Amino acid sequence: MQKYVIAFTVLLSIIAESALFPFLSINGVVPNLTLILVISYALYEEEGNAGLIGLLAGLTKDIVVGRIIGVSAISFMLTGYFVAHYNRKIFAEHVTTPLILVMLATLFHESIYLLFVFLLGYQVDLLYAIHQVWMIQFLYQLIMTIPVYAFVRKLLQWHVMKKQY
Amino acid sequence: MVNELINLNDKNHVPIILTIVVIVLIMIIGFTSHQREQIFILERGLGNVFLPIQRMISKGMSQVEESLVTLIRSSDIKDENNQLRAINESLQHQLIELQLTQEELSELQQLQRTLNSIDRRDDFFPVTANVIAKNPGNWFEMFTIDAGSQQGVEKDSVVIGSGGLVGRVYETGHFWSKVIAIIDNSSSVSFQVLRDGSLQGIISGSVTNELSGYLFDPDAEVVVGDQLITSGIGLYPKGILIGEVTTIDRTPDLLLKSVNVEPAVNFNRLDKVLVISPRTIDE
Repeated sequence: MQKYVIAFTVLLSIIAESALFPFLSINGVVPNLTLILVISYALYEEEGNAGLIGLLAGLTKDIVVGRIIGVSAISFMLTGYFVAHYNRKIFAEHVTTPLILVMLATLFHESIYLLFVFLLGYQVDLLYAIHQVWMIQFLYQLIMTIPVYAFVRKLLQWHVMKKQY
Repeated sequence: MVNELINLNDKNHVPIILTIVVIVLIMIIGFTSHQREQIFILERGLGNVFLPIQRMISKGMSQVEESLVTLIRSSDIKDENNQLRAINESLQHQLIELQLTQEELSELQQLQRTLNSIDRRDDFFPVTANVIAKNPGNWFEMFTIDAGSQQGVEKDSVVIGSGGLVGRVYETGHFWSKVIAIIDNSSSVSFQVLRDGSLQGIISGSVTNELSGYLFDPDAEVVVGDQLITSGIGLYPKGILIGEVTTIDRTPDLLLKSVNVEPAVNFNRLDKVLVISPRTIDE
């Protein structure tokens, strides 16, 4: 049951990002909800599961709305894995934890994207990247983190989501 | 929770599996980084699952947006505006068509005299579609429309919005297609100046989503406010409005005249588009 609920929320976030948020975009920037969701789950998950959630979420997103398949998959999977790897050492209950993690992960995700886009021979503009990613994306991302994280915490306390092993 | 065959949460196995998956993904990236003839069955299926929900949401949102606009402005102004816009659009089309036919006529008459040429007409089957989703990333300007191979949309079909050229079809599923906008990083269009068809050049998009390009002739007399249309060289058929010249730069060391262009279509507010079949280039 747990995995279906997680899959459902991931699908929901991809749909919201591609169909709903373009109407609320700031300077063409849309928050990366799926990334926030992956981090929020990874804070309470085992390494392997968190990596798998990231991988599947990234692959689905790449296939449905992306152009190059696999870039989000790599970055989401690694993000999920690393967050889960250190989640015993960090204090997941405080709200600043996901905020900082989301900031780092956004930077990581956009850097990986920039790297692949550059390596595949597309034109890149670093100044634009910094403006778009550092200023607008960061801000929007942080605003969206709090509701998504709060939602995931509530969701994981729901009796259906309790682990059965 | 997941596979019992490979214990995913065995601390020793996770980094190894992770590395293998990363390598496989990099291979997939290499394979999918350029336009493909056929998309995977999985892609097609997933797209079909997402399509109705995306369509519902974006339709609802554009309705909400529309009603908000109507609330803010009084309805009279809106009606008048719409009427004027429709008139303006049809006049603009007429203007382009007239100028083109005039030019074409003299060209063709000349050609007919010298060659025994046959006028090749492209058969357009326009399909109307709604924009249902947009690529949320920062690096590509791509969106999904709700018409696919079942409606007759093909790879490289030309997409036109209200007022001008939008882009071309990148991939098609059964009931959806992904479209690359002309302001995307990897797109380029050959243009000619509407006022004088002999002034031609190439215009391309960028990561910053601005259109800029250059003219083949460094001495070409282009002025700010000149309208650019597709020249018919390459993928796009002749005579679709691209946009208006906003600035002209002359870089002395490049010996080229470069122009910045304001696209005729507002890419932030795309709703309905028209898809016409690609030109068959058979020589």
